[in-house]
Amino acid sequence: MTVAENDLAARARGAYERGRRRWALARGAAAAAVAAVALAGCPAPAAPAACAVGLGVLVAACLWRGGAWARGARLGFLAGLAPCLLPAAARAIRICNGSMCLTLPTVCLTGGVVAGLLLAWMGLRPPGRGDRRFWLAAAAAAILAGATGCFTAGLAGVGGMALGLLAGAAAPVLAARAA
Amino acid sequence: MERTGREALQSHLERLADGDRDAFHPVFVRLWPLLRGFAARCLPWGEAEDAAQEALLRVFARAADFDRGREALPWVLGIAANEIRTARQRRRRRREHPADLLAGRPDGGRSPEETAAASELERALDAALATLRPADAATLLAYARGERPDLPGPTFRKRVERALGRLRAAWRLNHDRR
Repeated sequence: MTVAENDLAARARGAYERGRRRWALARGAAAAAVAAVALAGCPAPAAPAACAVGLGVLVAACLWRGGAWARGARLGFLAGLAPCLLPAAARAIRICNGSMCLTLPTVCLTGGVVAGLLLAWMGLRPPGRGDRRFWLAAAAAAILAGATGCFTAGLAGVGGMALGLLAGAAAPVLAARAA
Repeated sequence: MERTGREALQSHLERLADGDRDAFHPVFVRLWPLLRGFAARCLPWGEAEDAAQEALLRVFARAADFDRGREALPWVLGIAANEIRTARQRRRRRREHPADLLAGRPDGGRSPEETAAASELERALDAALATLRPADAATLLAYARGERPDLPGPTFRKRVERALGRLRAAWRLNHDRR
């Protein structure tokens, strides 16, 4: 390549990185905004809001990096939507009226099971299968998305979600190992 | 572009959209000649080069947005066509308002030789203007100052063109008999 072409290639690379950053930030912000729906009707929104922001940053970083990171974050975010939005839906249909209620941790546990099943079922297919980066991004995104919704039910909600996630993921993983 | 080239571009662009930075060079090497050739068919040389560069930067800036379901070549050429359209519009605007460009031209730091040559040129221009009809000279002076007499734009442009033609003829008569 000539000097002028090298210079143009450097500018094109810069344009690519800037474009990719902008693209990833927009999607990270959208993911945070979707997760923030879980804050509706939440009496103490600070911790869940921090989780939503963390989720946005994580999704943006993984999408910017691309490859297995991006695929993992996408799947983790989608799977995490169940424990993220179910508690808000439960509050919306007035399953419980007080600031603390025992039904919400159960809802989080159920959401966690759904997320775990989805994560393991989709993640065990190629090309994600066996890629640590994929699983790391997927687990982090699912936990942050789930925590955004389940922190609204207190630590019991987060604990329920984590338990459900593990239980849901265990079944397909064990089945795959046995096969 | 032949079929194998298209397929290679498709696969490299998909990899680039997926964040694989190793696909950057193959995409660049394929796209640059393609965009330069495409722009050269639609624009004069200098402008074609600029438009091709702009299109190339735009393609890379939007590479993350590239959808696997789409064909790469039409997507790239669509972006290039947009850039070419913009370059054509710019050129049209430049032709319509050349005085804007003259007004924006920097005039800093002339050397004494340049100043002498410029004043000689001004004298020669004054002499050529003096040979024109007063109406033509007034039109050209107004045009040079960026003033617009109370006339419709196309009429004024036509008068400027006519006066410039006469000025050129007068100039040739006095300075360029070869």
